[in-house]
Amino acid sequence: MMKKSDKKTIEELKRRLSANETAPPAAGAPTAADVVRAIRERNIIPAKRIVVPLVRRIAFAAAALVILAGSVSFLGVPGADWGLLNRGKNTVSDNFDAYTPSSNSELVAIFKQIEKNNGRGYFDFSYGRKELAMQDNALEGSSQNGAPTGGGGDTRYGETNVQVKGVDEPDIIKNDGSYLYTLAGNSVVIAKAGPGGSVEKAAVIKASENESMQALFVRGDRLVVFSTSYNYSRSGEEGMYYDVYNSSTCRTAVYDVGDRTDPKLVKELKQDGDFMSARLIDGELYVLSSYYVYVYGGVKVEEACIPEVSVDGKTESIDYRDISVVSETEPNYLIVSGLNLDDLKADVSKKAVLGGGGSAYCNAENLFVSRSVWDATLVYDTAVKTDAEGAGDTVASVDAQAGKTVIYKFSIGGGKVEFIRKGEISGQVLNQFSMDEYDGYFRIATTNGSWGSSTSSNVFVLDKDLNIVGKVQNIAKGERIFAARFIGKTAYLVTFEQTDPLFVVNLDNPKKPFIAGELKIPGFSNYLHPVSDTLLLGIGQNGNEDGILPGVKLSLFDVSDPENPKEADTYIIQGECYSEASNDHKAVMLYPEKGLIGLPVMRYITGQNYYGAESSFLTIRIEGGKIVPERIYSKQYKDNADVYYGASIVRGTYIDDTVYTMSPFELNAFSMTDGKLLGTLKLADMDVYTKPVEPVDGSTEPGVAPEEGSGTSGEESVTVDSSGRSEPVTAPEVMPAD
Amino acid sequence: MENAMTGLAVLAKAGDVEAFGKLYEMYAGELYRYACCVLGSASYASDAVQDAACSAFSQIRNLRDEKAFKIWFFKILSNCCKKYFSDLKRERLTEELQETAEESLEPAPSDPVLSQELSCALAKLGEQERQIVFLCVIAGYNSREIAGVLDLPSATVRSKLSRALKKMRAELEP
Repeated sequence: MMKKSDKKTIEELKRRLSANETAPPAAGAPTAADVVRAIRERNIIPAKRIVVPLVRRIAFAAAALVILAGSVSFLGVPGADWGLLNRGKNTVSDNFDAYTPSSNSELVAIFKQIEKNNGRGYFDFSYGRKELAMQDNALEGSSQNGAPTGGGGDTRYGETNVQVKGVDEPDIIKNDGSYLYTLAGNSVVIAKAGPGGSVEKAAVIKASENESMQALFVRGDRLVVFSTSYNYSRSGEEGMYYDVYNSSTCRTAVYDVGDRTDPKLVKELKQDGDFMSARLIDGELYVLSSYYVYVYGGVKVEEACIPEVSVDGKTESIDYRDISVVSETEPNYLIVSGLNLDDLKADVSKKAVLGGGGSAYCNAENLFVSRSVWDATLVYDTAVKTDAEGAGDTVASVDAQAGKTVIYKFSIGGGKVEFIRKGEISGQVLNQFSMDEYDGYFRIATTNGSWGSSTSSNVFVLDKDLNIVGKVQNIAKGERIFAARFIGKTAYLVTFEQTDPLFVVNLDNPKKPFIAGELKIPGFSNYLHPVSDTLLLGIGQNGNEDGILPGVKLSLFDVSDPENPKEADTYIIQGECYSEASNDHKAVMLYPEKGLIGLPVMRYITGQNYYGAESSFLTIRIEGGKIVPERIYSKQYKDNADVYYGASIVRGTYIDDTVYTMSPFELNAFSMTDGKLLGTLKLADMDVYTKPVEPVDGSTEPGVAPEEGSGTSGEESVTVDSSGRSEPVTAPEVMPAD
Repeated sequence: MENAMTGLAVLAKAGDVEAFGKLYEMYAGELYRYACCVLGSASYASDAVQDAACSAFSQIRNLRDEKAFKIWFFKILSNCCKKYFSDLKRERLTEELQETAEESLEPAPSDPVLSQELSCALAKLGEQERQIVFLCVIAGYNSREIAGVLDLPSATVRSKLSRALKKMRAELEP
């Protein structure tokens, strides 16, 4: 507890700092205008950077292993003597840098050593841990494809846009052709999609206290809800209290929704850590969590360091034989569990790797999890230095040392998970789309360095044992990967600094990949979607030669000639716009039967005292090598400025001729025939945001600015610029202006 | 305010510098006062805040929870202050060598912004101690939050805070 005298001193300091004569004048602070000018002068744009997990203790952790192994030489030295580590009975024999401990006490010893090396007496990750969890989720890019669950008849309905066909990814909305399952306001709302576009609430599943719902799967009569529960206890005194973080639990709840109005919990799986991601492949469910071992407040290392899994209330520690320890040890487990939704009585399979995880790529046979290994301190100091003084040589070298990516390969099948091995490459992975497996080869795109001119990108090809067999390096110096997509024997990369090169990498010969062609265009794409064998749709940011401009840009790339990729067409949504699709591939709606692609578009309105947004859902079709806008679905509120960001559309899906848009608060149904609003269902309380007033009308025709009766903000009325297509790029002013 | 903030943060992430400027403005005074107290120099404080702002904008997409903007910004600023503090120390050391005549424990900066008393009290504190004290006094954070900003264990923050306050007490008390 805080001493009285300390409190008094704090009060005294506060008093002096608020007294006129003694306080530093706040007027001396750089103004917003100063900051804006400085940012523009230095030509800074927000980096789409891989998040740096707070792993400053990695070096210590590795050092711990050194001591354990009785060897001092292997820290970060590839090919060093790992034999000493491979002493466990269940050693993964031919894998020199991952091994299975021989007993629980060996694991405890590892943790004790980490603890000792940390010089702290405990692992205090209270802050870093939470941040890490958020980052992992975001990195992950959950997605899914709704495995077709026999919606019945010839009903056509939307499935989640996924990376690998047949491998469903979890999302906040799922659709089975009759019902929509949404996650909003920390509750699951099951909505009946009735005839004529009606949407009615069938059932609600609420999260319990401290539980944060993350994502959903639906398969037939099974609904799967993922959540993370954070457990805190409060200590300390008023004024200086602190929450002691105890643990977090990733929960997988399987409901029987045979009766959609009465979901019944039929299986509950809890594993230590935060929910990271999951995949569903034909009834086989794989769940990933990240468990940072946290020892504090009387918790003993021995109790916390072996991860636990509980199935229907029965808790068991993961057997040490199912745990792998890798060289880049940190007190963070990646836990992967597998179960079969079609046979819930079967055993739950579980594996753990001591040494975290990040993005996940999964196909029907293998699961690959990447993990960034950084020396965060090094990177951070570099960043600040670079920012303050401009990039220097030291920066490049520091950066190069600071980051690598390790890859964990698991084999999956029948609901069983096996850890296969670990691999490593240099650079950092952007997201799951940076990884792919084809024809027995694992391909991965990375960016080295994080700052300024020190960056460059690579594509690596690894064999089934994760040995590098081929690579292209030093792609686009000074730029970073903004989007990646592997399609068959070709990789497409978008890098960005000033203009947006699209690189086509030929992977025909896995041992000799090379850059086949490149294309420089303004702006950049964050997501690449294969439209056909020769066309690729890019969703991203508008720009010109000097950098980025406001506006969402859709680019249609013709890659029929890999040596000469072309931008066949562009479509720019003018104004201060943003599309969730550029951030999350699951926001892209695909309606193959109608040849439609949909994406949410948000346009910001900045007034004197408010910041609002106008949200809509745009559908386009690709026709004759052109992007053709189909329709804009938008619920009109009396005063657009009243609609804050929280009400923005984040997903769209469809059943036959009805489009459903989802915001964190509402589900709206629109007719695809005339764009009219057919039905609305409130999903969560909007009290914290301004309530929308009565809808005025459904929609607007494509290419026509919505009639804003209220005349909110003048000229650049939303939507799509009226030609529907932008010429070269008629740059609306905004950017460097001066 | 929180809504507007979240909105601005979303805008800033989309590359809107002006929105970022507005977001910064909400905390400008607090950030600057903090830097002044830690560094004891108006010009250094101003530079540190400006650097932190640029750094924050370039990293804004790493900010997952918009509501955490303030503490996230303080984390960046505290790192900038660390760097400037060592620069300042070096500068003062040089000055000291040049003017050996003067005999003061911690020479005042050329552009002091704090009262004499406060400066004297602060002179007894190291960089980290100052950060801890003012994260508490100006930013209003508790030990757990300060621990997060400075990457220290909460218990260490509590003991360091108490020690730092004790050192200052003698100077501050009438």
